[in-house]
Amino acid sequence: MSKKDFLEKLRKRLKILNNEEIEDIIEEYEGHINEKIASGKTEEEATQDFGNFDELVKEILSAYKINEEYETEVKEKNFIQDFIKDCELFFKDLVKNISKRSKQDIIKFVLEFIALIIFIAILRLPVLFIEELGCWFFDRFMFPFDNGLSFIWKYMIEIVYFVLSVVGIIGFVKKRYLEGEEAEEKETKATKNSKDSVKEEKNKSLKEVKSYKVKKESSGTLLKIIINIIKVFLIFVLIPAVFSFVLAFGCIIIGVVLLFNGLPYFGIFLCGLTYVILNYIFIDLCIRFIFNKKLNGKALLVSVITTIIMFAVGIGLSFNEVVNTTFVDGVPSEYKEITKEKTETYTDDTNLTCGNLYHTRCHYVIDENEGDNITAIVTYYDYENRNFDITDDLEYVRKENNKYSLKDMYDIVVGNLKQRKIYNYSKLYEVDVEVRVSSATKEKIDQRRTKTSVDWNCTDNACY
Amino acid sequence: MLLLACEVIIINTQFKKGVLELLVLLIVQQEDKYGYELVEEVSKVVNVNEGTIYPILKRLTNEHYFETYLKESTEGPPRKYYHLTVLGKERKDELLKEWTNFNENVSKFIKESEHYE
Repeated sequence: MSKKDFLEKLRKRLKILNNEEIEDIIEEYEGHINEKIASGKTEEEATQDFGNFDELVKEILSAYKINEEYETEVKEKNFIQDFIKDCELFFKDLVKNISKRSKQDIIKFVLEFIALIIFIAILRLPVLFIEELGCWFFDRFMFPFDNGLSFIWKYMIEIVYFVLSVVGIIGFVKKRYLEGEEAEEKETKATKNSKDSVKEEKNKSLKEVKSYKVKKESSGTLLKIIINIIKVFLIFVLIPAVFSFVLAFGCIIIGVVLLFNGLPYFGIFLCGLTYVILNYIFIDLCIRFIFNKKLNGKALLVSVITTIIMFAVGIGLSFNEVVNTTFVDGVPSEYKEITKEKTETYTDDTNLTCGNLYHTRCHYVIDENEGDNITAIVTYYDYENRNFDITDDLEYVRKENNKYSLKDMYDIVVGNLKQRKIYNYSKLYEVDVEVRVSSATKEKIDQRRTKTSVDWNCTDNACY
Repeated sequence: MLLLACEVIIINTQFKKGVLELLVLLIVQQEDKYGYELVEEVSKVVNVNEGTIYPILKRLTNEHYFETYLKESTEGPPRKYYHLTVLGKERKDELLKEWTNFNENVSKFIKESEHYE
């Protein structure tokens, strides 16, 4: 600590003493440091010789018979109790203040208050607009995570809006309230001036000091109330923050496992890691604020800057990784395509038509070679050991093999990622049905469909 | 005796404060001193954190055991000197008596316990 820092810090911590005493102490310590410097020590060494700063403050305060625990006690007090007490004090003062005012003043105050409320209500529109804008953005560009991001975005905006409104209202009340206090002060001055004697002068200065103190106190309680409201809201902010931290932390652990498996995506992992660290720092800051814990500014700055540098590096690496990854609109070659066929002669009772299917792609292919026959071809991937049989109604029956292995899937995906390839894995679930008929048979089928008016959501040659 | 004092001081800060107070009073009794000088002198006798002497000076001044006055110095700004008042002298005598009594008792006890060894 330099001499200046040391003295500044000391002055701050001794605020409970009156100014004269503080100056007296500061002078002594300044003199001591100066002598040390004159004897050849550096400022840092001189201040270090005073030992632990907190201990020193306690020592000084105890010389004034101030409880050494005063500072820590103030900090550790139950802040909810404090909050309630502050609110009580504030409203008591406010009521006292209002009761002193003239009717006109009160009406003016109420009108202004209503105007403020209306203003805050109008402010809701741009807030909603910003919310929607954010949601639209996430919807467009952050496809798989759009819902989550939109939720977090909305939540944050709402909280900011609420805190700002509360702070605005309190700020307004404070301004009005303290203005009144000042006016009062001036009044007392004016009346004092009309009377003339030396004694009055003394009284006046005393009064001034008193009213100054009252003013300071009331603005102090206001500040406390605002801080406490912010604290309550920070708790609400903390809930999603902690949730996101736990989730992201889990993802990072999975990421570590994947990296050890040889995945070439270190950049993306680094980005995720910085997110977790920043999230942690944020939670830590909130908790420190809520519980009035001390903050090491230097360490915080260093960690934030390091994280941001890490993030920048991560972004750079992940750009390279993403560019080098191929997205294939198909399934990995490990999965074999299986085709099953069934042929019947078409009669009016044949149910081997697309009209019987839904939830599945089915399309007609005109093939004059079929003649009177109708052929259904079912194509699917050999995934999860599925096995289909085609019945007469073209309802393919799934034969469960009961062997369902997540590990196979995982191995294949990880294997693909190692080759920097991503497939369209949702295709694995698709079952494709093709019905081959001659044009004459197709006409018959169409006629039958209109007759029975069984209408699945069919277009001319496909049903879904 | 002072070595012993050093050992005992660690036991109780209240006790430590008492001893430091006595030392400060004794030093100022010899000659009027300014803060830094005083701290140096006390440090010679007891290994003590320099910062803790000033609160003691402050308290003793507030309790009227010390009077202070400013005196020009050849180097830098004027220095605040501490002077022992009559009240301070009484306080010093009182503390000294307490300390001597305490010290005698402890020494006696130590001698006795050595006897049993």
